[in-house]
Amino acid sequence: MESPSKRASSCKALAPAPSIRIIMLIREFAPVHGMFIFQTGQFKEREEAISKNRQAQRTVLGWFSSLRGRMMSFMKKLFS
Amino acid sequence: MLFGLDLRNLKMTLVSKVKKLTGEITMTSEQKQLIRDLFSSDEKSQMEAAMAIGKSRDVRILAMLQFYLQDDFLDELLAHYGGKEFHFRFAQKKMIKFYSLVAASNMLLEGEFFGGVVSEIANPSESTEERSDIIFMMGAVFESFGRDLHAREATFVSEKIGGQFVKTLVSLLSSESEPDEVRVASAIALHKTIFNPNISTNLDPALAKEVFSLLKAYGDVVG
Repeated sequence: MESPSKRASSCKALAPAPSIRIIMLIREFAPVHGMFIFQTGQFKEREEAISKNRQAQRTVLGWFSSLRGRMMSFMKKLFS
Repeated sequence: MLFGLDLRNLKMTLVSKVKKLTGEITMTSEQKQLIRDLFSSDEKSQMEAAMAIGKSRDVRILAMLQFYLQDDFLDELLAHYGGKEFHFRFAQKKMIKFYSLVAASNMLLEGEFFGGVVSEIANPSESTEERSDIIFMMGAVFESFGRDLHAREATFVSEKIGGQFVKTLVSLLSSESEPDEVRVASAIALHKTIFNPNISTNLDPALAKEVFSLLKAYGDVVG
């Protein structure tokens, strides 16, 4: 039977080198935290699209909220 | 002229009404009375008002009906009157929502009216704000229809025209020349519309695939 220390060393040999592990971690977490390390052109385009969409979303929700406000004030006047 | 109807006149009327949607809300005394009746505690008056409203072709009234289908709108109205003017018991609120739904379904059953609404939202020369408001509003109407599955009229309308509305939204979302606001409003409305099972389960598989792919692409605003 393989000893625990020998098994640990063989597992270590299979694991990626520390520098590769760091790159893998950055690739995994960078989009979540909005970091721009190792950013490709495609990734930047995606970030820009998200930002444009969110800005448009705020505008659309603002317009609709203003419409709701006008409808509410009309109703209050109607029943006053 | 088509089948004895002057489509140009119909379009002009609809355009002028749509333009008023985001402006000052003014209504005739008859329209105001119909709205009051819809909020009446007498079910017969509510039903008659719903039928009369359903026969009108007015985008502003459809927009109002959409708000009457939302609990938060009715609750805010109730809070304003402190329950003195309206005795909004749960059952009464439910009746207001039900008859608003009946009125909205009947209005949308008018093929020409719905066709006019669709051509307005697809018309790039109309104002972006009005188009976005109507797109958002229509999405909310179809979502409400999907919530009240016991309402026969809403089920029928969803099955009859829901697919056409989805196709319009898909076409707006696929067009790169559309303003960001129109595309985002379309994505939000699409998300709301396919919540309605009478629409989502009747979609052509290829269209359904396109819908889910577009919703995934707009995941940042519809999530």
